[in-house]
Amino acid sequence: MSASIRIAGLGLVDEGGLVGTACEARSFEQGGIAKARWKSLFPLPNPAYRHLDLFGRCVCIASEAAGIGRALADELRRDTALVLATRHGCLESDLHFAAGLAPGERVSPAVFPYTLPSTCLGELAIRHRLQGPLLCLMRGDDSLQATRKSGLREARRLLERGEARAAVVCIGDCLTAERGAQVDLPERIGVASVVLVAGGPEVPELDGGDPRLAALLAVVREEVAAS
Amino acid sequence: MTRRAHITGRGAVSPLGADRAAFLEAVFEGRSAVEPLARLAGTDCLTRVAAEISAATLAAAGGESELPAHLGLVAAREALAEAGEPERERVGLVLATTKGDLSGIWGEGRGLGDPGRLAVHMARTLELGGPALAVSCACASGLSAVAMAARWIEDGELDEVLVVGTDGLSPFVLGGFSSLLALDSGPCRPFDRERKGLNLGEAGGALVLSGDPARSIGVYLAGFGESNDANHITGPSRDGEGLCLAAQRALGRAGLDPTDIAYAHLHGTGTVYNDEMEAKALLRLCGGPTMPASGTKAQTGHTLGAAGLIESLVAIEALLTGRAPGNHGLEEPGVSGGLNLLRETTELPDARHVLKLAAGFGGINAALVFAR
Repeated sequence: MSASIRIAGLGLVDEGGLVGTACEARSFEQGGIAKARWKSLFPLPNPAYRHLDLFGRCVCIASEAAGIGRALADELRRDTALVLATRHGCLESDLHFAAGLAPGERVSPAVFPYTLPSTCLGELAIRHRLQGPLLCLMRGDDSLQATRKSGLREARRLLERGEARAAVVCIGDCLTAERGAQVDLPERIGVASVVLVAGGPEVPELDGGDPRLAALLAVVREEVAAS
Repeated sequence: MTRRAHITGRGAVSPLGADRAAFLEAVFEGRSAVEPLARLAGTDCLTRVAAEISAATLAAAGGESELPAHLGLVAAREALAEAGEPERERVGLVLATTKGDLSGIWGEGRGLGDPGRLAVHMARTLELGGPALAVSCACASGLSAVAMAARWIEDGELDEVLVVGTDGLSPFVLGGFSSLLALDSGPCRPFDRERKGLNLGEAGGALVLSGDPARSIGVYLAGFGESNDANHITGPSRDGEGLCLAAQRALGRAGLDPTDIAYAHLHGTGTVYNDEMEAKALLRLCGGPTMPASGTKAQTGHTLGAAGLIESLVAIEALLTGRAPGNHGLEEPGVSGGLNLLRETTELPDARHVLKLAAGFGGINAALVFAR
């Protein structure tokens, strides 16, 4: 691993539930969160996520599971970069919005901003007062590995160049089976969040714990070490 | 000495002209491409105008579904030609676009609004052998893409990077901005006290960045900076702090003070809040009256992912020619006093550095400093 960059937190939201270095693994049922519909992953009455699309909700909750609040000291937040690496971005919201434009249909104006894949990072920035560079990368191949590599690589570059002192890297897609069927794509729901900090005091090695988290940790270590 | 990203090629296709020269001539002559809706006349939206690409360009593209790729490719080829046709096997591509190709969502095409696929398509068509990535950072996509390409150059990872910005108009985009009540029903008037919103446009723009100063057109990227307002998803910060921070970062990287900047090309959408925010950001940056400044979206419409590229071309032209365009449609300024808004094309004596600004949904801000 690059000596100057440490992994300060990991979080993951996928169909198996929620797991992160700042929280115990739990299924949505265990967490009291209905899984019957992805839309209700974070119920509307929760004011923290009221307006967010599914992608934004997953990005925010994965980052919070990574312990973003604890990992990023106040003095780091002005210089914390946000990087998103995704293949399909906000396709779920694109399809939602387009359906609402059809004759006789309606769609809330609140949906349109979420037809930009970078909007979810703005939501994260607002919630945690993060004011560093923001970068949303999309790769054309269908390889999650390549997408993830691009995101981690650009985040590492921002840290190594001193353009940011910390970075939150979010990787993944959120496309439900319902919307995916409209465009012949399978359901793809999974967002990983990685908190990277430049320099700083040594911290105990992260415990991979949950096998999904351990696998993510191994991948991130490999990519961050590749500098 | 730090390796710099030099500008070696430029290209543009827009409603103001089929190539860069025509585009720049029209901008500096004060002409506007904002006209009554033609191709999109039947769209259910809250405006009657936009800057649509010509019928000839649309025909050359092969239809609306191919338009984003076509606009990007036309601009890219022009830029690569000016750059002396670098060995394409070694050229990387960064594509700036907000939505890429929406034809599979809105029409009968295959595009699912996935900019990455458009980047790969363009790289293959142009036979580029370097990495191909898309940047989708709302209306700051273009400047973010230039910054990312510059990092690749400065870090020595690549010698040549083609940066392309493109977006086409569609009922999806017109409907979206209508839903936010962000459109002026007639020609927009950025920074005017009577401004009511923005006009949309479509275009392609391109720059070739190179680490080789010998091939430069005489301009290099001296600095770039990005920031987030962390304030609101669609509304800019009321005090301009975020955009000012991006500009401060760009100037800091360039080792310059605001007084070194001869001209600022503004984002200038024409919405009440963006223009006031931008005025406050520049006033905050300068600590008082600002450098000469203007925006050109009243002439091109807001071309979204292409805006950062075609507007960088205007900023670079101002640097090379020592002239800056005026603010089309400006009659009585309606933003905080002290923003030095140009009324018409104006001489810039001994211009050495210019600033380009952009901001977008999600609170994104970006700034570039070009130098000669």
